[in-house]
Amino acid sequence: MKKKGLKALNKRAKKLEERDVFGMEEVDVLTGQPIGCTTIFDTGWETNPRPTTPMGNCVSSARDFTTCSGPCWWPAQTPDNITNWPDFQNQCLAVERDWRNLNFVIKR
Amino acid sequence: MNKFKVAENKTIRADGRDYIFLVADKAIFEMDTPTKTVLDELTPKGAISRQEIMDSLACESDEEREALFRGLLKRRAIVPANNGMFVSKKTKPHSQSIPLKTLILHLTDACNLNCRYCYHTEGDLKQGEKKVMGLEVACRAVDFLFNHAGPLEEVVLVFFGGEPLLNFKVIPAVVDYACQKATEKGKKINFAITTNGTLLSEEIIEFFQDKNIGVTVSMDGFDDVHDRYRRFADGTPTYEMMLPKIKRLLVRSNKKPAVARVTLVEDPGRVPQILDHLLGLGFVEVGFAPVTTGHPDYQLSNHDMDLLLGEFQNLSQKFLSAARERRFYGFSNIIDMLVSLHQGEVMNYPCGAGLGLFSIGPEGQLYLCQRFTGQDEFCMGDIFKGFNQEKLETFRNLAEISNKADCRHCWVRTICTGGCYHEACVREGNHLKPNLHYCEWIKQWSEIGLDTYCRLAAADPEYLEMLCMSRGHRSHVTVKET
Repeated sequence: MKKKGLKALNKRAKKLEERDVFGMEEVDVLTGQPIGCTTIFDTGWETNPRPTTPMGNCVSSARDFTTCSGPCWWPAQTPDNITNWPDFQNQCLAVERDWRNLNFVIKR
Repeated sequence: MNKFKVAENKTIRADGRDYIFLVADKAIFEMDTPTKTVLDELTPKGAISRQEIMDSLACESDEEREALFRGLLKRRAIVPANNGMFVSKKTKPHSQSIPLKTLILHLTDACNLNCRYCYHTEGDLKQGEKKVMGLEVACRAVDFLFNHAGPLEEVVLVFFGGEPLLNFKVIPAVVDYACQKATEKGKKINFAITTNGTLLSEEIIEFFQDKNIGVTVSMDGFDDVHDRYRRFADGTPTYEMMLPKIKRLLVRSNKKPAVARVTLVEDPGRVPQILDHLLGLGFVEVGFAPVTTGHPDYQLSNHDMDLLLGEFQNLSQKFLSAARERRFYGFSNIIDMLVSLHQGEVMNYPCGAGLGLFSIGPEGQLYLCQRFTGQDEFCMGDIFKGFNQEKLETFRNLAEISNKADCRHCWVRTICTGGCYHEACVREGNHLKPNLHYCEWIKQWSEIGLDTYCRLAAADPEYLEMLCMSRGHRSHVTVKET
């Protein structure tokens, strides 16, 4: 039977296809998170949604244990876009251009 | 709970099959119908849970469903919902570690033509002050190239101007010196020259052939199109006198095929005839570029640009038909696009200028690229004292695509990366701005490119490999000689 899904055509696609998939989902989710430190435009960090330590803690603190270097700030001023407001930034495609569109979010 | 979303993409339907271009990764996949249905269904939902995705997958067993989900995740068709929210700040390689690959020697400011659309006469190269590069500077430039080439096995030296053949006398000596250096360093060196073709002689043509020098001729087409703008300083047309020389060049250049570069100023409807005319003369490839000018008289109008797009589409179709019969149709623009798509390298910069490519002024100054030669603002040091690291670093930081707010959410950003710095400098007033004036055009051209790519990849993937190899990329598969 023909395998379902996507078939790679270009070299980049083949590279993705050849990736090791072992334990992939967790790793992939993690690499999707921001790496490195804040710029003045980064509005802050998120709470850790994973069932691993530090549970419910903020990701920047998790980051402190692994990749963080330099001045990281404790999150306070931002809606958390992993758990509660995944799309809050959609109105602000390029932050230095569209930051005025960002508005308050109010906890339900 | 983790949320996911369908990755930013562009879908293509061609020859009854469905394809997806994943924007951030520059990856291209063929989709089967169930996958397409699921992705179409999930896209407008935004952030969704894993369970919602699993539920939407039409599969016979849970294992199959799991495998399909993992497959989509692995190929990044589905990504964590917060992906792309931030521009990830990867550690940039230290500038000094970017190896120098290409140096363009600006052999002379002088040109025996006075083309009315030339960016040099519009720029800082003032009439009357014609500087010429001496052999000493040229050889130090070669040293500079090899000293900064790092681990690269191959480097490129380009002769440019003005009209470089006005200073032909230094070329043989530089070529010999560079070959000797290459042997010492255990590297390979490739040579190329861009010329207007009016000064070619039997001796020069033999020299090019002998030393394996790639020749690009600036030529605009038939006599009437060509002579409209490409004239000697006294106004004499150039087509007639260069034609026998070009024919001689094309008969002789069998080691490295000669290519033509057309500057397009008007009448895009004639592009197919121009292409066939130049291929008919014996050029292996012909590339078209709309003129870069701030002068409204020479700019293609929006209407012309639309017509040009239509012509490019027809020519791409013609290229595809030829490719399907394993023939070659030398339309450079689509070839460049297909190679870029097939390689799938995600670029942070539109070109190599200021990274692995620099132009060297007649007195040894380093410029971003040949188009900025002679303009102090774009001088990045010189070959004697080395790079102005601070200025170069600043340029590299600012020119990165993540700084172009208008590009950040554009679906062609990994193909166009904001476009040519020089074009932006002329048309947008700043080389670091994206070329917003041709955004829509590039998007449509990219769509044509993707469509052509998908059709060809489905019909003959080996042909794409061969195209990439012809552009100096390594192949992942063994290609049979045909």
